[in-house]
Amino acid sequence: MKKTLKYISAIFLASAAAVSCGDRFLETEGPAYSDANFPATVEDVCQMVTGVYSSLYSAYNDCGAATWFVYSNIVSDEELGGGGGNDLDVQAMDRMLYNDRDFFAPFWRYCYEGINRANRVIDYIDNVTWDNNEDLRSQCLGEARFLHAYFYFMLTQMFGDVPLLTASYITEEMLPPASAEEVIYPYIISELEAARNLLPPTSYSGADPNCGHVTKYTAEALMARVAMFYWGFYKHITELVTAGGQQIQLVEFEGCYGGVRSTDDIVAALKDIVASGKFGLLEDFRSLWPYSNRALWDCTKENEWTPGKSYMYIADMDRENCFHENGDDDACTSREVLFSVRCNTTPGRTNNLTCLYGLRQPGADGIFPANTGQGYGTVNPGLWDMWTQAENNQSMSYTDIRKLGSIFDLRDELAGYTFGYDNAMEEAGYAQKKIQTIQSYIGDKLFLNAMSSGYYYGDGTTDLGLRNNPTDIILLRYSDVLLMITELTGDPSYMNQVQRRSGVPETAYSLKAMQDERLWEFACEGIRWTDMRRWSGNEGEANCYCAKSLQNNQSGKYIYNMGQKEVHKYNYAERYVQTDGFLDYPESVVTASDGRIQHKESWGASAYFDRCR
Amino acid sequence: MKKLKLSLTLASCCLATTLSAQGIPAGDSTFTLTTIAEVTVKGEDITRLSTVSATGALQGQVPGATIIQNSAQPGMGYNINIRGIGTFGDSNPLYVIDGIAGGSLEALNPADIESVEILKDGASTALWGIRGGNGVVLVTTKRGGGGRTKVSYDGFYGWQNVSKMPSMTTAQDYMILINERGFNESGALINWENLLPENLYNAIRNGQSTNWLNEVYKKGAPTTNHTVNVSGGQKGHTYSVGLSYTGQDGIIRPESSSFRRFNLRVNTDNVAIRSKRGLDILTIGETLNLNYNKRHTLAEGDRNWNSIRNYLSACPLLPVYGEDGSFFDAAAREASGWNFGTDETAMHPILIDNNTAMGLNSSTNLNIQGSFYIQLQPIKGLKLKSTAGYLLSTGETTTEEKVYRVNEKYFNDEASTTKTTFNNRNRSWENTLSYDCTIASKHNLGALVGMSAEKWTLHETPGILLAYFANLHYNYDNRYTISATYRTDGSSYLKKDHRWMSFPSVSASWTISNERWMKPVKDWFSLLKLRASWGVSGNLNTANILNYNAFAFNAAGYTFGNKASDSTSAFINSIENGDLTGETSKQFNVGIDVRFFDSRLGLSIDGYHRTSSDCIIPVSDPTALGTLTTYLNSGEIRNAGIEYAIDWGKYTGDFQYGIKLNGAWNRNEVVRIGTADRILHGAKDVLSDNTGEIYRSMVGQPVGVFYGYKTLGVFQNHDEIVNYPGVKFDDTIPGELIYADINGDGILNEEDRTVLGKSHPDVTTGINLWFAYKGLDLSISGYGAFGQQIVASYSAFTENQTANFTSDMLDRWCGEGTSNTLPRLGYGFNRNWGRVSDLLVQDGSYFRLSNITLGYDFKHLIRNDVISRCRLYVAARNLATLTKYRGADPELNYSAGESWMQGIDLGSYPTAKTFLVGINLSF
Repeated sequence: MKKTLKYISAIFLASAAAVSCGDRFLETEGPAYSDANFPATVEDVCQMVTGVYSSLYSAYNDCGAATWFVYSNIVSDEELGGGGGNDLDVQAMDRMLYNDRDFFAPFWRYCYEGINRANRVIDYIDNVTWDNNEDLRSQCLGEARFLHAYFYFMLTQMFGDVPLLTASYITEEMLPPASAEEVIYPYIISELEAARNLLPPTSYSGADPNCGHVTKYTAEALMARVAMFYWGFYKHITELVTAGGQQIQLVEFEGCYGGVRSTDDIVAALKDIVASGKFGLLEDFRSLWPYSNRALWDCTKENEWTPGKSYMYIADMDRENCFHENGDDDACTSREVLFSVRCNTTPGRTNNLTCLYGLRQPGADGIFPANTGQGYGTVNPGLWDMWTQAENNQSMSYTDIRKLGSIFDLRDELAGYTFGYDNAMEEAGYAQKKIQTIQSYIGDKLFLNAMSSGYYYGDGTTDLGLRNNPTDIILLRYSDVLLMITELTGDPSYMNQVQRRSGVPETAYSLKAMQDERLWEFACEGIRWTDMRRWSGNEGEANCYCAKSLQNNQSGKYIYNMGQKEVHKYNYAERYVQTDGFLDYPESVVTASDGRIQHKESWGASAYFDRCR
Repeated sequence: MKKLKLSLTLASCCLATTLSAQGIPAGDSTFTLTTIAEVTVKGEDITRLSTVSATGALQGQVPGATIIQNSAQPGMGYNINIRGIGTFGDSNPLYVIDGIAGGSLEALNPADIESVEILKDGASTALWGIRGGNGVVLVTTKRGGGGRTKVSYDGFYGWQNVSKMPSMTTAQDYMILINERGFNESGALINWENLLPENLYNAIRNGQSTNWLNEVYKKGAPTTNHTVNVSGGQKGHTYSVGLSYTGQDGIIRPESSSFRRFNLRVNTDNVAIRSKRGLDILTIGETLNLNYNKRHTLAEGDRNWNSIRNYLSACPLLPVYGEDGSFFDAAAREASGWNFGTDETAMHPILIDNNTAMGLNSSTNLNIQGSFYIQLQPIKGLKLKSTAGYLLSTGETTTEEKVYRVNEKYFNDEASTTKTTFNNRNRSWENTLSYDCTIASKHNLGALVGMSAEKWTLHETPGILLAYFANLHYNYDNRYTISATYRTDGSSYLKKDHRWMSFPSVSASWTISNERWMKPVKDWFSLLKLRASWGVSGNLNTANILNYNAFAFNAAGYTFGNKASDSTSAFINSIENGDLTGETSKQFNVGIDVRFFDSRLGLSIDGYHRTSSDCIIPVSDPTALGTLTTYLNSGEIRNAGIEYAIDWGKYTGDFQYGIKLNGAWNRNEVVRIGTADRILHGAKDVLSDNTGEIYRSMVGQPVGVFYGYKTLGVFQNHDEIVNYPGVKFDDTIPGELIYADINGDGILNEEDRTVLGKSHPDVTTGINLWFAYKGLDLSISGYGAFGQQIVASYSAFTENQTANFTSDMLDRWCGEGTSNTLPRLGYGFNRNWGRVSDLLVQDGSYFRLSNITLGYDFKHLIRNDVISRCRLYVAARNLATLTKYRGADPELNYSAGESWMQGIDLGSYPTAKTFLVGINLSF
């Protein structure tokens, strides 16, 4: 009996002692992967780089209309806000006003998510051993540098001065906005210089499975775009051919070894792309966009049509020129693309912009082959008018294939289009054609998404549907490289290649010719806003190129609000001068900054886009 | 002596019960500590209310506890908040079931419960350390007594009906309102004949109208409960077994909304070694509470995932069935010539629920709550006890999507079934050493030291808690009592330097009525006692606070190469905050207990002041953190209040009766929010797109206030507008709202938004009446909450301009003098309707007659020694609710994403009014 008691007591004491060594007992097995043990392998680093691309995807697809792409289109003279009576955010965007002070917060967040992820790659890259894998190491580092730079390019385009985070451990000094002109642009150029030196000299379309990774040439092309904006906007060099001797001071880090970059260096970088022979213009401009897809070309709808006749606008195309993102040489994008946001059919990885740009219509029935959506970014009728004018203004009139290649003429092309559906706002009968989900028959069955065809990304039997559009969002094309060379050198031969493809008369170099050509070539591709502003310079007045274009091309045009025809009136020029084309910092950014980031003066209460009309 | 005993059991405070519930017997009851604020609800007071849920039966019985159903859907559980909100995280108390912390009261059958004790003050909750800050609910299940075997059966069967539905307009009124709105906006009238099929148009002219919620309403939906309990034992070996089944069908779409529950309870207590003098030297026992349930849940809550909202807002013109008797789906619409919109307008809500996860969602859960103890008492009063506990909560949720085509935008071509599983486990081990003794018959002394260790896995995340605690209590002559406790907790959720937190408490009481000089008045002044306590407890609800820089992976990180494959991405998805510590709650409590007239009249009053500091607040700096969130200890909340409980009763004679009344008043104030703007922002666009932030928490206000524009009436005519001295829009026309220029800057814009109301009540109350005459008994219960507001909105008004209207819209302004609150009709995105203003805020106060039961015990007729009870009863639940609230039920807990919020009604499941018959049989 006593023995039993002793025994039991001993168990008590022993057990109490066992757990009383406190802290060690409280150590849980941490997460399987934390910064204590990750990255450990080369593959880990590659996955971290993929994580940065993930943020790029999100900044384009997970922010609704609050993306640089949609914003650039709408705020420029290419598109109006559109949408319905409730879509005040996009209508405010067009006017450089706000409906929701925090509307751009998701975009800001994803950009900084990407920046933080890129910084972590850069800081931790040597935590793993790269034996015999130095090329891969360079590529990972180069991609991180490139994407870091790209996020900053987007942020500075939209907000001007922003906090510059250059390491994964953020210090107080990094958190107030840094001068875009003095600090960030030189930093971006330096990072692109590093990327250029680190990344492999391959084509972007590459071979499976590498397609989609940025390359040396992507960095070179982006470097030109950034530098041209820097010189134009901050240094007021509207005409870059005259910019001899302009330099940008570089910062030093691995891959970029200081010194300066001049316009000559930029030209050399662009010519390097041309010389590589890895890129080229597609034969037919329309081949770039999904509306020219082969399913649509092929479809006959129970013998109602003959092949190629389902959609008149592409009827004259050669079948082999039909949209083929997969490229013509089994690569994964066409050879004209240097950079894109890549999408596929996996939910969460699809092209969400098509839903925003889809037409605001009751159903897809009457608008074949276009599709339904929010109806954001209705095309400014002024753009159409300018284009028509340009076509007829020459001594000999011509048809620019890009006009209908970029814009739906809704009344003419889509018989069933109705104005004012679902309180549609700012309609003028035009919609952008490049970013759309296209319907098609495959066999006798109507598919909301032509990409469901086995020729593309589906199996030909299941409709991918409206929301699962897998087409890429193109950010940089080879024609841009050509046009930039002409703009920097005055040599028209590069521009002429672009003109020739679209059936446009070849012209000599002039600033006006550059401005027009870029407008036509990149209509609704999110490029125009950057161009307009660099041709104006910062602190531009009401007569600068940007203010004038915004005002004259948009205000005073006829539009339909909820089905009623009205004259669109707004003082775009005045507002542009007030804001210098920069957005305000999102509310939550200001709030969290603890006073380091302040709302901008031009974005006070008077910039509230009141729902009172 | 008898009187004294009564007074002590009735006194609403007793630390001894705390200790016993923790697995520590309170000694020989030679003395009872009575220094703390606590409420005990006995099992019979739970079962007599015939509820499906034990928590539901507590409503109105605990002063200071706000108990609100999460939803009126079967099996959806309750939210308990004790003495106001003191955290921005989960404010539910800690549940301790049979001594094991972390269990679930909802997993028990009401008839299995012996008692529920709610610990409220700092002195009692301090003993529960880092989890005691929101209060503690101690649940004791029934255990076997000595003597002969007792068998009982309790059962009821009830019929449920809707107690109230929001009133929506009929097809005819709807057409008038749509027409008027269209005319106001565009000057044109609608040609209904062109928009509707001819037959339908004529039918509607003849009075046809679809009330969608009525279409899915099941009258008399059953609810039932059957329980068998067996208990008994002999000579130190006792057992108790319970087996029960509960079934409840929803009153709305029972095929999508139902609850089935099976419970098994087994426990035994065995004295293994008993000394010759009768001392229980070694005792062992175990408890097993097993619960299996299956639930179908109709989508509810969110504005985009809410079937009730769909039924309320669906177009009343749309018929349920087409000419051929099948559902009026997209194809039928097209064939019939329906032309009144094709998407939101023509959403057939029944088709949606029939085909999507909104109506096809079921879950099964298995809960095991078990423990085993061994107790050694080598000498009298010295006890060594060790308890091992195990909790398991595992289950699976299945959702289904069928192939359907509701309309052009709402369709699915590929059927799918999705299953998600969860598996949460908790293992605990507790050891205590206690000693109680009485010296010189007047000095009662008790001491306890102990430790406990717990390891758990919650949503796949491990956690460990290690605690050491001690208690010392002393009572002199049943007059003066003091008690002190100390606990220190170490949590694996916290980083090393902040891992250990301390929780001290002291409490004291003076039973004045036991003083000798009170003897002369003892005849009528049965008890007078003063209490005071102070204590510290903590809170660390860290389900989403992972304190390390962890990497996560996404198999679909980005698209490289051909589009057939995805590439995996790796990224940090949680950020550590090395300085994070638990929240602490310091509470001071004073109380008085008095009883008069042989204890027939009793009154207890408690006053408290609680400061919750280091409240954890999510911080998301979009710049430094991107999309990540981190947590800081930077909030402070203060709660102060008064609670009372009065009872009066006649407990002798043939005719007996009693009344219990309790109430509580709580003042809640946010003292600090450590973010830059001192605001904890609520979710955006909760009601509809562009409606912005309608609720938030801000310094100087109670937790969770509604936020928006204040209106001052409606402009009746042009003269009024011209002469209006305040701020107005330049283009104002008669019938538009007058907005208040809150900040006085002469502009009406978003800066003029202000606090429009609060979401949590100031005052809660409960009442219980009972009468008994021989075998006949009648009881009436009710509870209420007062001072809170509700925001109600059943359609996405800024987006969908064809949703049905609530019928109060018939009182809108439509000419001078017609309304001074609701403006002229206009599109929901325009300023009069699109701005969230006080028009949407309603008074949420209510008093509910929760239960009336009439029973008769036939034992009084049948003289039978075998049957000790044979009671038949009829009862009505939720017979009436007094409220000004126009929605389905003011008792609603939807919070739109933040646990500190409630009172947002986007369409909520109607509460059932239940009539039931039941039987209690004991042998």
